[in-house]
Amino acid sequence: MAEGYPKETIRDLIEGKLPWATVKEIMSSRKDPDRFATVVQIEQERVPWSEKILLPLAEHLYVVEKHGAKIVKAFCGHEFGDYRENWKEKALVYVRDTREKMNEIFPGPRACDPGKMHLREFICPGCGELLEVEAVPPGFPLIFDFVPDLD
Amino acid sequence: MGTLKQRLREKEAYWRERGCYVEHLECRETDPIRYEIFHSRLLSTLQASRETAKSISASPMVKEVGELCFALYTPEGDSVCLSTGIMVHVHTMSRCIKWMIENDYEDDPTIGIREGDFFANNDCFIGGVHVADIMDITPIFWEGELVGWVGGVTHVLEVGGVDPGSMPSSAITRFHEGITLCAQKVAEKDVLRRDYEIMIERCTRAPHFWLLDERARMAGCCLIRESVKDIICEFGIDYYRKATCELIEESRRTFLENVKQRLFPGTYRTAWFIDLNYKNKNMPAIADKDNFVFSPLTMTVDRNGKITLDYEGATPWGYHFGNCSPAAMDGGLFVTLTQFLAYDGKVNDGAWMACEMKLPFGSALNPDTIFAGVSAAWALLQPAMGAVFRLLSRGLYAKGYREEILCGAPVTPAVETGGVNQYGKPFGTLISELVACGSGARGILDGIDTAYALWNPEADMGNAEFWELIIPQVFIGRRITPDSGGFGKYRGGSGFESTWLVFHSDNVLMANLGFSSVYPCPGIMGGYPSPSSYVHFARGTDVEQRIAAREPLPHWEGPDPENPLMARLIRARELKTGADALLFATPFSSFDLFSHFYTGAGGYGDPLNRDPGRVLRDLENGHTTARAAREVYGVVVDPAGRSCLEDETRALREEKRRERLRKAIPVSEFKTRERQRILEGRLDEAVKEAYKASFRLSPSFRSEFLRFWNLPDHFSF
Repeated sequence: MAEGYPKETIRDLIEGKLPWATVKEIMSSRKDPDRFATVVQIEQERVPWSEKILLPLAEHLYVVEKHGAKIVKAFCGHEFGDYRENWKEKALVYVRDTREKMNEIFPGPRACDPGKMHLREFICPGCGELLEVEAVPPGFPLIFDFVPDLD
Repeated sequence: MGTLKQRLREKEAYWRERGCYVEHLECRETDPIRYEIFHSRLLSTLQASRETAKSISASPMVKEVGELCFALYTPEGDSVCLSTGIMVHVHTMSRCIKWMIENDYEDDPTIGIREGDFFANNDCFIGGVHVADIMDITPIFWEGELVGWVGGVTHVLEVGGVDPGSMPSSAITRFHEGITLCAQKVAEKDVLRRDYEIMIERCTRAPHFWLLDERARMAGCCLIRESVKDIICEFGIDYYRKATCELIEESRRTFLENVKQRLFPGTYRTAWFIDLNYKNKNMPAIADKDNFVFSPLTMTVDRNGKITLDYEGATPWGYHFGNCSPAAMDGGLFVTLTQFLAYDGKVNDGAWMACEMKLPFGSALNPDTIFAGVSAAWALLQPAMGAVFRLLSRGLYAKGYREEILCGAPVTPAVETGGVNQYGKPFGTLISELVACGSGARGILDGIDTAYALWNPEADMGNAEFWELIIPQVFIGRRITPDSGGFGKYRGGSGFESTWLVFHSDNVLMANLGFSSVYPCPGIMGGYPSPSSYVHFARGTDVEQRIAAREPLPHWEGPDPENPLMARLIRARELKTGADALLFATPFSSFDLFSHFYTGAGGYGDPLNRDPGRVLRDLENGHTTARAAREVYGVVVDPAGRSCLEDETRALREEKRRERLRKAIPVSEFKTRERQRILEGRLDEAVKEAYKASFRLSPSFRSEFLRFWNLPDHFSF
């Protein structure tokens, strides 16, 4: 596939609705060069707001153009600010730093030692979506996952 | 043509000056069909020879699990073409060839490089990952001139180290790891030297497996060498020389194009962490400490397709089994690329050449001594490369190629065993069913269940019955472990658990190399990490009586990790459940039990967005538990477990989102609290030590740390 797939196929693909045999065929074929434009178009149609999407940053997060600025915006509409600053700084966080909190996810011996590692669950203030889970030792700086080269 | 060393220098100078392997792809452009046939001939001979070699070995590691690989190299040691298998070694063998050239093997009258010579190596600082992987390298001559090399590698069962097996768990330096072959000539005129065989027979616990593996490697290499000569006959030596170089250059160019097409340019960051808890485990004083090992990782992707990986901030090497040589990191990167951006067309060193990796000297990823322990280098290599997986996945997401996302690799525990087997003979082995773990989740579907390993894209756990032929243990259980992959919209692939009954031997050692204090396989974009590891074992049991009375045995952990079946069913002199996954060689006897599970890897996306139908299927197939279905996925299932209750599920998920918003705090508040904790030094001692050690090695990471937490310049832990 050199020229691109129908938009519906790509929509089904990124929504996890394509049967495995078709996914496998797409994976084994040459990549469609217009994928980025197609996905941005699909995402633009899905989001409940009108700012132009520059790129999908992560599940639920986009870099969009707003009043000449490039900002990180959530699907729900919450805005995190300039994409060159870590959106996590403007998020909410729930830190699993005790056995009791860990056990809600990982029972008994499956939990780590909370002294050696805690889970930072970054929550979207707009809708409660879980945006990212950092598994890091206490004291580790927040990780700035990705700064796209947009200039 | 000059000496090999001169040719290597010329090649390096050419690369420096022109930035490519060759400038023109004449063979490809003049007659592409002939060029493709040439490539296919090389590829098929490598693959066919691998399959033949597999049949010569007697080791389940090779025959069943497929831990072998063959590759063809240029005279300068760059890979042209390779078979499937443990591809991680394609570049480590390249390192070894270059090392031999650099060290004047060609001109040294006591060594020399002649037709039919075989050089064996498992010195990781020459080229290798850990001592278990033995490589054989032989030259290809044409009319008296060296025109290439063939390399073959297998993972052997036993290496004669301080503990039985192939990755001695308590090896803290090279001197504990077993036999180290430093690019040593072991065969001449295609005949194995008897003195080499004698050394193996007298210095390892399972010499017959080593020596049959040796013959498998040699046979594979001989087959390839002779086939390559046939190919040269058919295509001509000039064509062979030109086309092999073009295959490398084509791979490099294709890789750059793939990066440009599939990854968004920018700066990507992550970090990885592992624990190696050695304190109070009867280790030598120098190693008697809990180690916390980590590294930040920054990946930059530029607009020309170049990828640079920088591990600045990595902690120093230490006295433990989990350091990593630069060759191992090279190999890890190579096999990572083959799974993401360089899996089609011409797979060879070209892709690797298009990347740059920065490994701080003195760190655990690039020790400043060749004596550092690397027997379980995968302990570092898996998280270090799993981190690359996550970063590449973010780049693929941004460009829309979500079907290519693979968010991490499992960091698997490993079981080593040895002692006296059921035939009364010494034995030792890594039980390498660990090759079949769960992969990280993908961007549009769950991870691969029980069939994934980073180092071998052709993962196979092997049949339990084959293992039982060579170890005095029987598998009384082998099954999928629920919730062993990271939770997420798409979950990490499931791992599996094995339970062994020691049988017909009262002299067995078992060791487990795993991580209990951390989650080494994180998820991305809201996905959780996979769980920490642990072991269950029972020594001095009533199993013999239970069998006689036909009473049930603990064939699996059971539904509750906190109250496993082993604890509920078995009476024993010593019963340990949920015990530290880093267990050094411990004695076991007949009717003792040992159990653990192999992990999956991280999840992708918010678990509350997982299709409830997928959760139900996971419940039906043993991939998840009723507890996780409700508590983590927010899915309400009818009491019979046959369907999801849609309204109740929607309501529970809404409530869970509201609960998140109630319980979470602004990040600014968290940072204020965490900063105070750092200032007061209220951190785990091993973690503090790791930060201090990292700061010593990396002033730039220290500066970044101080800047982030707004700490004074004079701050120290």
